[in-house]
Amino acid sequence: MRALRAWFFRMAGIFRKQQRDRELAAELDSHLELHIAENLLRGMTPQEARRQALLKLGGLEQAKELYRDRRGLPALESFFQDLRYALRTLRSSPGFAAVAVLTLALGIGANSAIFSVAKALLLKPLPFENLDRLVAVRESLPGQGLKATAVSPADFRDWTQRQAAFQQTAAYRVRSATLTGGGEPELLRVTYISPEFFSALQTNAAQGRVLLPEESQPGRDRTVVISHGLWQRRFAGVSGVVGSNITLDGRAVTVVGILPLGFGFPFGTDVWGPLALSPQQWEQRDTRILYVLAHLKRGVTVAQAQADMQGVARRIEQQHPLTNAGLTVSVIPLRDVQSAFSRPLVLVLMGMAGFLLLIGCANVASLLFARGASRGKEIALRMALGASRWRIVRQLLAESLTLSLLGGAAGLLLARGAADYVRASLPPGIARHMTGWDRIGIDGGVLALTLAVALLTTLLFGLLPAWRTSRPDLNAALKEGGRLSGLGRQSRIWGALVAVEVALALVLLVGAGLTIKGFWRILRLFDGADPAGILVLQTALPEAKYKDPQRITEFYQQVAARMAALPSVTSVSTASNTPLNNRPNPVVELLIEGRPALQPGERQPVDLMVISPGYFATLGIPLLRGRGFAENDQAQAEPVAIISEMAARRYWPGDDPLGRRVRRTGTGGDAQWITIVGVAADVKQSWFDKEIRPQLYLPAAQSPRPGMTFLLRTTAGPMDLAAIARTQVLAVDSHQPVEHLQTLEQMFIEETSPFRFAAELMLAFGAIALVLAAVGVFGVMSYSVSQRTQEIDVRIALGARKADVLWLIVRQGMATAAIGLCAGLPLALLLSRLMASQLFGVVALEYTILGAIALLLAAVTLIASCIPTLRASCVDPMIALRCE
Amino acid sequence: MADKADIWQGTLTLMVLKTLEAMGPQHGYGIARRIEQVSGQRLAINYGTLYPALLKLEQEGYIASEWGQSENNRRARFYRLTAAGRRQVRKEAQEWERATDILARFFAPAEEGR
Repeated sequence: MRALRAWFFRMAGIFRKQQRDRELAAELDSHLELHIAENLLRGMTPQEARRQALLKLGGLEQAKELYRDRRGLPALESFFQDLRYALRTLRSSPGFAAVAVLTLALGIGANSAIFSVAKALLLKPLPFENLDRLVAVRESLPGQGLKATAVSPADFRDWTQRQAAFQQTAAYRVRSATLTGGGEPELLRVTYISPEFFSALQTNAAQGRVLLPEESQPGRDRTVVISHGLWQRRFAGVSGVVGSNITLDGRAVTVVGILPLGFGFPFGTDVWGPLALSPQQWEQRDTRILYVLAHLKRGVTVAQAQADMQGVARRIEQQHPLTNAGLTVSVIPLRDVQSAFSRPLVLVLMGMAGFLLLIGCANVASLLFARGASRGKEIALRMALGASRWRIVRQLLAESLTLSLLGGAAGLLLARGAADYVRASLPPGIARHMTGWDRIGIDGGVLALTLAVALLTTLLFGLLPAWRTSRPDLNAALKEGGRLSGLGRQSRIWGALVAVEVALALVLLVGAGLTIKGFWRILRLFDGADPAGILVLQTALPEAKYKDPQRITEFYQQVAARMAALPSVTSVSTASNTPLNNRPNPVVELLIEGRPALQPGERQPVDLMVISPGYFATLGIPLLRGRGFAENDQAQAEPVAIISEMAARRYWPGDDPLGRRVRRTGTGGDAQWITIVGVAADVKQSWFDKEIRPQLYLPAAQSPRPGMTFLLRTTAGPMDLAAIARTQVLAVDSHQPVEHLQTLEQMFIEETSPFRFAAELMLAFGAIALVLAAVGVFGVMSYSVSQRTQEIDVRIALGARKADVLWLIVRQGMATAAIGLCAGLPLALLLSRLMASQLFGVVALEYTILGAIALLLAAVTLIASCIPTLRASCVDPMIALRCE
Repeated sequence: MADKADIWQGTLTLMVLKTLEAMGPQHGYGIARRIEQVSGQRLAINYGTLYPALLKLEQEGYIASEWGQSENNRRARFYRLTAAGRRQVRKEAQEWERATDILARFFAPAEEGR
């Protein structure tokens, strides 16, 4: 207690020094006066009296010094002194300070910004208190292309009864429904949930109540809860909504509650209704329609839950080998599920930001070396005056600390700007793949990380130069006009730093180059068709209203005919999905005519898409063999299908699939065989798909879907047509909402924007790295030239050709760059392999890009090393020599 | 000064506290002189070391100080014990007695045997 009190007073003793010093002087004065007066009484002469008094005090200044040491905290004070001195020194060389602070700000800011992204997307993608204990439970059929998919109702029911690891399990199913009445019809995302859903997420209604268990019985499922957003948007936030009826897909349901602001799981859901499956549906084991989440019991780890569920799955497999053979269960933290799409992207960006910081550190370190060289005399003088080496290192580190704290502060501003930009840069529709995106920002965690990074960088870039600089040869340095000796080793370390910069810059640039190339390749998917000329609009017909498939076909054919009649529209087609929009197609399994029965667990899955004639032509997807669908492929005609190249290769290896017949499993024995009439080129459904999936196309007339997308190819600006196109839909059905009215290009750009975001960021990082590397080479060459001016001049005076001398110097810079490039190449190769395997499946290693970037770096370093050399060789040698 | 005993910090603070207890408020010079007198001139303290010791005691809250007039009408800074300082004197005095008592036991038998 007493020690703490004393420490507190000593802290206070650091301030108001002058007043405290005056008080001390007064006290010692009065002490001396008292002593002198007494000595005089004893009969001493005035001089002797004063001398004795001072002697007894042990010297006035010494007494004061002893006192001051006790008054404040000397270690802390000298630290502040160092910082003040550092600030003064930096102010006297503003150019150096600005470059160093800016470099560090970029490096630290990039890391803070990326960390704020990572924190929002990877650590806390959902705002649930118990996120650590929430898991998703998924089924997988390894070898069948089904990985971590939805779960069948019967499996979910059995799991719930047999599991021992979870406090609660809940199932949900995401559909869409049209909201009508009171304004334009609107297509909403509706999630049907089992009764445990909200309690597993520890969420309650903000108004009213959540759903009751008995409301999950078919027939009693006429209640819903709605999101805060829908309440505000559609009902203007009025209070009477709870208890009122709304119309979903033509069916009246009662709103019983409104959820709190910010609750939106699964992402994009506006309405939650009860999951009311029929008893027959609960018996189904081969239709996987439910997503399962569970709340771990306290003390149970994910691995234990996985083991428990594996056992449960094995017992179910034994009882139901036909449907469940080879089926495995995976328990995945909900956090990881949510961040699955963003994780590779964020991790790559984190790595890149780390590289950028390292380059920045190498750069500032090389600047400090240059400064250390020019400050050799000052430091030698201080050491000659008795400063210890440790004292000098401390002083130099204080300078580095000042730089990195200033850099950190500036970096934080940059990061804040970047976080705001990032949050605004993604279209809302995309953020659904990146839950947590809207929470990106600078908070306490980011602040702490920034400070930690700033402190770490201080050591990274400051320690080595400080250690080297604090060991000058005193004699040589202090000699008037003497050259600094012992710099041979110093410039070697310096050269190594620049080589490191070049190596890291190469890695960053290659990463950026490959990502941009990958992005470009995605957008070039349709060589034949310009996506900017295609208008996309979606309609989802309410199932209740369009029960008869014939009505669906009529609707789409009527609307398509009206659209085709519009001026400047050259072709119209419809499809159940569009490529590259990240929405997966339903997976169906095939039986092939004439093949032996499949083994238990063996499956032949394909992605199913329903399209109208003209689809391939509209999008420019090449038909490789056979024919496309025609107008006479009507409901009563022979059933036909087109498969993708991947499906042909996988299921008819070395064989011609044309004319073969297939059937979907689970459609019953009386289902007709479907004849394959064509093979189309492969198309990617999502940019993050790592492999190409086999695909089956069916004609819309033969398997009508309520939800379809119109694709209008136009000769004029497609968006000019948007309003007229919409009226064509309303002309056929005035209650029908139209969604996603945009050009195909806009859609691609939106859907691939996370990727574009990554590519842009990497490009920025790469550009900064290039500039930093160039500055580094320039710096080391300028210094080297300044050290060798005399040598150059003597050579020229003796008749050496200017070009030869130039080459002599430039060669040194190029050697450094070459070493850097050689060291960077394997690293860059490693990175591109990693990116190719982890990132989107879009990035592929390309040696041409690698080579081009290496050449670019070499060219930049050549220019950076030529400029100082040229400048030096332009000086008249006689003038330079006279200066010496 | 080298021939006289050096003072060790802990003892000095105890002597300062004891002096203030015996004499009441006193300025630095007076405390120094008193310590020398009590020791019978056997102890010569470097007066300069007294002031950091006083500062330490003040920081710890055992003594307080204020400016006042000395007996011969000079301005001087007077130190006085605080309540905590009084408790500390008692505590330290007890500890000191116990310590010297123990040490005395070590020296006593040797004297007996002589």
